[in-house]
Amino acid sequence: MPIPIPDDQRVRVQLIVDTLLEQLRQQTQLLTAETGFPFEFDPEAGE
Amino acid sequence: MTIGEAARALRSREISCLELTNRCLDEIAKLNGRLNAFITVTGDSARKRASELDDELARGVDRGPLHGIPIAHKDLVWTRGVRTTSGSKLFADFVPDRDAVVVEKLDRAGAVSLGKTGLHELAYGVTSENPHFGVIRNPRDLERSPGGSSGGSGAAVAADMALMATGTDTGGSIRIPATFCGVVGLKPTYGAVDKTRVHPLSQTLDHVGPLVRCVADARLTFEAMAETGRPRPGRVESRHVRVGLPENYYFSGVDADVTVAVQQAARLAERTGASVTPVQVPDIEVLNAVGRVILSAEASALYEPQWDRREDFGHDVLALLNQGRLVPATDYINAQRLRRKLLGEFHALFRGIDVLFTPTAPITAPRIGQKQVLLNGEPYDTRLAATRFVRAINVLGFPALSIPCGASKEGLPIGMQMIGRPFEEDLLLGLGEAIEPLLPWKL
Repeated sequence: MPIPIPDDQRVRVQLIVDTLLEQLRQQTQLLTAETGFPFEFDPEAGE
Repeated sequence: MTIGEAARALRSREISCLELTNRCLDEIAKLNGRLNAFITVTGDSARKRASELDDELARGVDRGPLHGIPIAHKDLVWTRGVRTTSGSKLFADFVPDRDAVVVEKLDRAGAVSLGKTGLHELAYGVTSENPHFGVIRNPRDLERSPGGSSGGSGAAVAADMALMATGTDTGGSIRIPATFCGVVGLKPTYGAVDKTRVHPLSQTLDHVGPLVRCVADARLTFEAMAETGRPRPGRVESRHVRVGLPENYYFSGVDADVTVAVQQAARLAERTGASVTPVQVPDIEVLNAVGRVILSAEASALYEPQWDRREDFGHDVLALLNQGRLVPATDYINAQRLRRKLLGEFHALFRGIDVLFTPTAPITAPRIGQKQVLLNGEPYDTRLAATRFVRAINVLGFPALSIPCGASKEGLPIGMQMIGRPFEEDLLLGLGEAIEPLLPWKL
């Protein structure tokens, strides 16, 4: 069971992460609209 | 003294390996109390090794340009029998039983290890204000930061305590100390230098490379450190190199002295015969966001087993590890998707150019403890400012060389970043060697 981030720090940390992820998510939406979500898996990789 | 100068002096018998090593150890003894560049100094073993290398030279055994050259290793690079702390309380007593592959390679090339240089805790930051091993100071101005995370390596080379030091670079940690300390730093292509037994921070962003006093030394040390067997592109004369100078992003929100120095360096590059053309670069802000998401998730995953020792992390590193634990897997995966898209855009840009010139950082060395800097009159987090132009290149994995290209009005060094295509270090170094004598910064 992972040890949680202490409550007194969690709100501030979440705010920083949300700000960072907001930009990423906008760009992800654009990418998905452009290319879809191609599935790539190579069963021979790592042999 | 550069490695090239030392190598010539060794072969003309003007100096011995032992004398050269003692000269560096004397500098360390004189300066380390003020700079705190070294965590561990291995004077006895360095002298013993230097004497052995003198004996070899006397017998006609010459290992090449690094034979007898005193160097240092960042203290997250494993060194057999020598404590390797990673700048962390977690590893304060860790003594590896093996060398890192890069240490083995430099050892075989004849380098003499003087000891281990200090760093930002766990290489996770750019100030090198280490809560466990003390603040590292910049030899150009003791009230200023040497940058980080390879701050001890940058300070040691700038202060002549070592002729070369290894560094690691996950979001600028070789190039930032290089620019703030006024030395040369090479972040090679991702995978060009083996990372085995170098303490990681982020599996897909970590790189290992040298900090040195001139570009020719970067070439010598990179060739000794790099993996062999990969075919290299032919050497390109600088008169045929196509240089791109960004019109967008890299010259906005930048210290005026930095802009002047880098644009002047680009004009000087034309004197070597290179052509310089304005280019539009892909979205660096997005690349930086992608890099921060990947780094925070990968670093937090790495330190999950140590999470019950929260009190053993410094405040800033703990804050970053906290952030990484809140990045959902979905966002990490999408960051990797965006990384691939932007990689494609950069390869398209590099079809029209061979090298991209940018400032290494928008600022010169900040004061120790300075949390914010002003960019265009606006306050900006020092860590984000220092990494603004370098982090993206770790996401791409392209090679990047930082060379000193001038000084600010206060006399602080300014670095220019030269970015090349993957595995084209030869071209970058060749252009760097051609430009370096024309630049106003002299060590």
